[in-house]
Amino acid sequence: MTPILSIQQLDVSYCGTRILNDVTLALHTGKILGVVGESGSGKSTLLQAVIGLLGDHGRIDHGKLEFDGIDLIRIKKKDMRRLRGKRLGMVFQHPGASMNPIRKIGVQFLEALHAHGDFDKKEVRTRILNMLSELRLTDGERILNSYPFELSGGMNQRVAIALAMVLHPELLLADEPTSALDVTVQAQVVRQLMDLRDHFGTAMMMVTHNMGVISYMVDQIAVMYAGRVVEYGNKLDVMKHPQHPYTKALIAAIPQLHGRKMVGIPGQPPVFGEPYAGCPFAARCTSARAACRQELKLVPNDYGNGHWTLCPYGCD
Amino acid sequence: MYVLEIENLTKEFSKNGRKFKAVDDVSFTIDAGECCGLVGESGSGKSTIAKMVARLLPPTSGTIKLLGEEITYLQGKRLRQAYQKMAMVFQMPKDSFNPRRKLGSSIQEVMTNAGIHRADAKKRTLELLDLVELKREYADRFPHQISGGECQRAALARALAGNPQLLICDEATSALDVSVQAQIVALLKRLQQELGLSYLMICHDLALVKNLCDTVVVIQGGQLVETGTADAVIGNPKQAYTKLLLESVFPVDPTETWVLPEYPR
Ligand SMILES: Nc1ncnc2c1ncn2[C@@H]1O[C@H](COP(=O)(O)OP(=O)(O)OP(=O)(O)O)[C@@H](O)[C@H]1O
Ligand SMILES: Nc1ncnc2c1ncn2[C@@H]1O[C@H](COP(=O)(O)OP(=O)(O)OP(=O)(O)O)[C@@H](O)[C@H]1O
Ligand SMILES: [Mg+2]
Ligand SMILES: [Mg+2]
Repeated sequence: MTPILSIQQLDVSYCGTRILNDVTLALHTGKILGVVGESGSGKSTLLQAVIGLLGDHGRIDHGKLEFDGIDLIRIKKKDMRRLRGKRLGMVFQHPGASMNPIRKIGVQFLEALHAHGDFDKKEVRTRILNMLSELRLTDGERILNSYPFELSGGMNQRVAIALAMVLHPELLLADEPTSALDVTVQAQVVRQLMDLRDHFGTAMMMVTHNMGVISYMVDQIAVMYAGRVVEYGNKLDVMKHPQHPYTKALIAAIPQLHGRKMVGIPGQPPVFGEPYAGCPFAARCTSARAACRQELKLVPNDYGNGHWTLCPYGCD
Repeated sequence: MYVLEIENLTKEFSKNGRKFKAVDDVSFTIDAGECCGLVGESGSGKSTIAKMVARLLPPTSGTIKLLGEEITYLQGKRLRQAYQKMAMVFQMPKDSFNPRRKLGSSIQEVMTNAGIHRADAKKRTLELLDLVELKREYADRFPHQISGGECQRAALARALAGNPQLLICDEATSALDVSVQAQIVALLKRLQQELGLSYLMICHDLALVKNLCDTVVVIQGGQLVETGTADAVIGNPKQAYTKLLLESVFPVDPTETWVLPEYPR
């Protein structure tokens, strides 16, 4: 089966500084890919590259990006705009980025829908209200009549999610979609996203720092560090048998309700644009060997079942 | 001595002629050197409380005391003096930085405004960046040129620039991956011990609250439902709503069975 989204050897830079390096990932219809990793490692950049919103300073230097056979790098701006919203949904890390600050929420929904065809106003309103209430925004009428600044952080985030889901996209890119939500609302939003997948086969790429959300909802996990995917595999393989030392350290840092204390990873990732020898994690890795800081080739090391890492010394 | 005393705090908003209470008669205190977690449902009034304490929003009724002094209605010079004793990290850090200003200059401004010499402020800015684990080069970046988590750390550096006694954090760690979160939590704890800094921490991550906070205030629909030490509230919750919150946390282990709790409509 051909994947709905295929990312191949993607290199992306901002102002000439290379950020993403050799990213290769594939996503199939109906699957949810969780993207985790160090703050600043390029997760948002990856989603923005896919949806063509890298901004003035961002550039795709090399690689392939295909959505359902469509070349997303060479696509015309006009065609991309038509894909966005309808076939490709996006929830930005910063909910403000999905919304116009000076328009009422209700107007923004109508605009989003009308850009993709004619709809019966009344029917659409009921559909939106239902959707908001599924996301636990029960005071729907008030919300549609409000400006973004009149809503709380988590309310805006849910409105952004509803805006991205309303046309049942085939691919949903979600950047930290639940970070501003309390745990009860988060659980229901996660449920709604999974329903969307179950009913419409929406494939999703979910960036989140919440490892509980990852554990519950995703099928595959990609772990990013310093602009590279350093480990990839099925959820259980990555969570239960992490092979890359960075993944292990990340899992060890998860705060727990009962029991162990959180442990950080001393040191910092390499500065983008400054060359390093060998593995980007070597300077912070407790099991690094001399070779890791020198001639190490960063090629995927296969563990079977689609599970691979960029570390040649899996330490299970 | 209390750093913060909130008494019968209420905030009413009106929308299309309809009034509703976003914060409804909330009272609690924070001791010097204490970290107080404020948790509750999205839209329950947490940010509104924080904004009233930071005097960014006038309360409808109730009083707020900072270090024993009532600040609810202060104006002018006295208000500016009160401002120097507290700082806030906002929920959406990108909105709180001037988009046309480099981060370093935004941080420096806090100090030059307080009468610190420019050269000293510049030096201190770089030290603050070290403190929050950001590279010094970031002083020359604009807010849109950094990642979400980096912006959150820059906002923390700016908040610490004024040497506050009370730091109000609205979701200050939610955009950080767990390993950077652990570093920031360690930093906040160190500042608490070394400088006696107090915190009002709005945070959705209950495990983080348990790790960081001494006391917890749980609110629902603008009202306080439960308060106590973090160990007591999270380890042995009394109220149904607090229990529901704890049951809603996804287990980190993917092999653990977990069912979505039933939520009252
Ligand atoms: N417009 C830009 N110009 C220059 N550098 C940028 C720009 N946007 C992001 N960067 C840098 O690129 C790197 C990757 O940023 P990105 O936002 O993709 O990280 P992230 O993994 O999403 O992090 P977080 O978890 O903190 O949101 C960061 O070091 C950031 O500072
Ligand atoms: N300026 C405003 N005008 C009208 N209503 C407002 C305004 N600010 C907040 N509200 C309303 O007050 C209520 C509480 O909002 P608040 O931002 O305090 O919630 P919160 O607990 O911080 O939620 P979250 O966890 O989602 O950030 C919400 O119903 C919101 O819509
Ligand atoms: Mg990001
Ligand atoms: Mg809030």
